[in-house]
Amino acid sequence: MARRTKRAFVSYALLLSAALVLFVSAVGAQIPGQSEKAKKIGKRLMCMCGCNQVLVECNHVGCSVSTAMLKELDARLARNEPEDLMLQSFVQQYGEKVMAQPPMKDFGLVAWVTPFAVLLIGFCLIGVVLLRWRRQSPAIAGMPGAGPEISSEMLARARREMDFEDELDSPDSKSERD
Amino acid sequence: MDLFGSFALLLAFACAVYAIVAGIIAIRTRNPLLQKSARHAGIAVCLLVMIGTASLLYLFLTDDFSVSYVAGHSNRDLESFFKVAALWAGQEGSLLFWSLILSIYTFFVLFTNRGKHPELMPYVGVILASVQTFFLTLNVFVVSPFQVFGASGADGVMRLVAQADGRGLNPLLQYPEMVAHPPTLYTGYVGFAVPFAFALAALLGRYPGEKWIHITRKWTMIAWCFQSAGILMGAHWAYAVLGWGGYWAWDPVENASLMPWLTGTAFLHSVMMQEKRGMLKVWNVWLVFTTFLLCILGTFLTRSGVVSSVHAFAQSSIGAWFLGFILLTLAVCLWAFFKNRDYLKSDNQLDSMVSRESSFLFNNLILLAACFAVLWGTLFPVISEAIQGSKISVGPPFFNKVNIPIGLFLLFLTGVGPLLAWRRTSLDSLKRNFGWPLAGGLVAGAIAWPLGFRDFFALICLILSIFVLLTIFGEFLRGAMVISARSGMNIFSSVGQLTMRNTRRYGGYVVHIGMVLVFIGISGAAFNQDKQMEMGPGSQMSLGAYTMNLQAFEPRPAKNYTSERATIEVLRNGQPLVTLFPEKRFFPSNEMSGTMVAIYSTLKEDLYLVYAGRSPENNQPIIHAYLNPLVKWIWLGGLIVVLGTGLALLPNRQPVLAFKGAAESTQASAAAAAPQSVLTRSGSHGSAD
Repeated sequence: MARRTKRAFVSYALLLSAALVLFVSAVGAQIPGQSEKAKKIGKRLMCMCGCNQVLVECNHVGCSVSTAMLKELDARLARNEPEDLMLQSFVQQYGEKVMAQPPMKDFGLVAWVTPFAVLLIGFCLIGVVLLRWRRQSPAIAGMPGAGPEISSEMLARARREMDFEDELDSPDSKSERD
Repeated sequence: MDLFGSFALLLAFACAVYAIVAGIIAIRTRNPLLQKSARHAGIAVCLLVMIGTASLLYLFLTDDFSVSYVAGHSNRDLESFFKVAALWAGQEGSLLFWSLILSIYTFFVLFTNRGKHPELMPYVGVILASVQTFFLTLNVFVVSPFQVFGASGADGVMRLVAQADGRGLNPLLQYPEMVAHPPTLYTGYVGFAVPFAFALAALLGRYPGEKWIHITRKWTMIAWCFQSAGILMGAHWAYAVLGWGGYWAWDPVENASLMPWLTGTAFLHSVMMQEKRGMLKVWNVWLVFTTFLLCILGTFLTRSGVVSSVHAFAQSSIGAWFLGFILLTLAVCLWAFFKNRDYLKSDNQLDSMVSRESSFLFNNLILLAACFAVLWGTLFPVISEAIQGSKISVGPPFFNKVNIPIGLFLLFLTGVGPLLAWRRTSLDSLKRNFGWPLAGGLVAGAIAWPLGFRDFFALICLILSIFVLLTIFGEFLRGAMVISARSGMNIFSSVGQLTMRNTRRYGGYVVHIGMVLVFIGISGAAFNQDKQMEMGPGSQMSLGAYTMNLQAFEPRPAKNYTSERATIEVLRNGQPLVTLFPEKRFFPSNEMSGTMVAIYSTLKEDLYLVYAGRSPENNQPIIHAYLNPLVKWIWLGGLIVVLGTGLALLPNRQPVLAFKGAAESTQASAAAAAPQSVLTRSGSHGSAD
């Protein structure tokens, strides 16, 4: 039994190691070098063709809007304009909606804060609920079951069944459930 | 044929209305004949909607361009295969398709439950007929797919005018995957109407016991499985067709499909609390209601023009109908809940803060928080415009930043949840159960870091993925060892035995394995690379270990389009590997272009080549190459998720002795009074998880 367990664990470990090596070799060797500045800035802007996509990821075949916007971006980069100024000029041209994500100020901040605030409130609510349920819980361990009695033979079968099921479960669950 | 189809839908509408009226009267009068009649009307709706759909399909296959919908979405040169897909390519047809799928679900629900649950099924029939009536109202009176072109002649009589040819199918839809993706996704969306009907029916009829929750869970799993497969097929279509190198763009339509999937997932977990402990009854009912309402909300968002999306149908008056339906459904749910909320009284007791119960609560919180974040991000542009007058865009960077931490926490809970015992878990148990998996995850992280795996979230994802996989494999191994020791079977047969003893539990684990693979695949996106270059014949481009040589560039005529195709020889580390053919197509019927991406896919990475058009300066072809690591793991994970769900739906192979004994000795009443721990291990629905 012990040898079989060991063998099975070793098999799993080998399998997982192989998967890990594959995973790391896939991504580890491909850390992008110096990312192109245009691409980086382009990821902060939306394409204005209506595709609702980031500028460098517009999925319209032959999109003339993204082509023009990327050209403008390249031209500004060639002039060595600072990044903030470039983004500002796009905002002036297309409005605030050209930015790919809400700004971290004014009303845009609401977009960022709300999901995490909801999550936090949820955590607090769960904490309160769990505490309430914990207080409601009577000491049920060892409480006799209500209703008609069941035969001793039946109980013995049920116990055998439970023992087997508990063995299938985690090794310590039996004691916790008894 | 258009008249025939219209009449079939009209008759279906009449039958659906009859099923509602007769069903309500039957519930009130408890008249069994009327109940039967209402059920038959519900079944007849299925037949009639099928006839209506077949009529439209016939019009497509015979190129009847006097019908506006056919002319708008097909043309003579379109392959028959895609003429079938054109059925759901536009608003009218897709709504008819909803009706068809709903009617098939209704047929199966009514047919498989005939003679069963007499207190519940009449309500279910009425609710499903009500939903069907809404869709048939749209099909018959608002956006009929059978509208024809007509012109009045000199005698003042309107006559049909057939167009010479149709405008053709949107090129983006002319791919085999698009034939499978919408029906699969719709089957998921519409499928959530069934659990909704059972939950509302149980609440309205104050149906005693927990039987309805078992039925609801199974139907939810079916809908969830289709929804999962549909979402992943859509992602694969976006990846293989749209040519931008990604598979998920957080588009409102994609978000609309994800939201009910998240709440449906939450329900599939929290339902166990109700089955095992009689807890969370109110929560579960509202999760089912919310899931259905989110399905309709998603449809509203994309058909009303409220949010802009590449997938969205043109802005139309139909949005108001959906909004009305959502509000009406919500009102009915609220009314039923407040009227009968005492029926949902739960036994909410908790023995320990560290238990399976509390982990399910956190799991539900995380899933719902993710759902809220998606909904919030989708609606925020509309909210910002309404409040401050200018629209603020919410693009993929926002969704990624908000949802990645939430998703990782969910992944963590996926590993933790199954190892916590019901009722209470001791500190020793935590140490024993989590020690090795956690150590395994950390070791994996420690190995990956020096190898260049330096993206923070991707690294956390790797550690958690290994942790979850080890916990799941540990669960399989532990159980299989016990069976192996008792039966002498080898470990692999024992794993099979173990799984079939409790398909729900181990099927669930298989689903978790699939989800872990999906997470691993998604984490690969942190390391994507791409390069774009103008390439003439003979020119070379390098990306990662790959070198691409453009060998030829030629036009290729086809029946329904013209195309330009590049022939690119790919070498890896200098050795010839494969020849790829990225292509750009032009469809003259609707003057639209489409791409045919060429992908060389391995478990390690995808080399993804797009022919992005010709350079305006020198007319040279522009090739955009992407190197996307681990994408294949997503599709593999999706397949495992579907297989796991199928496994979880199978009945347990081996009946449990205690339950069998009780049945044999006709001591059912005694068994019913047995301690809960015995019974919860004994149900044929395998609630031992």
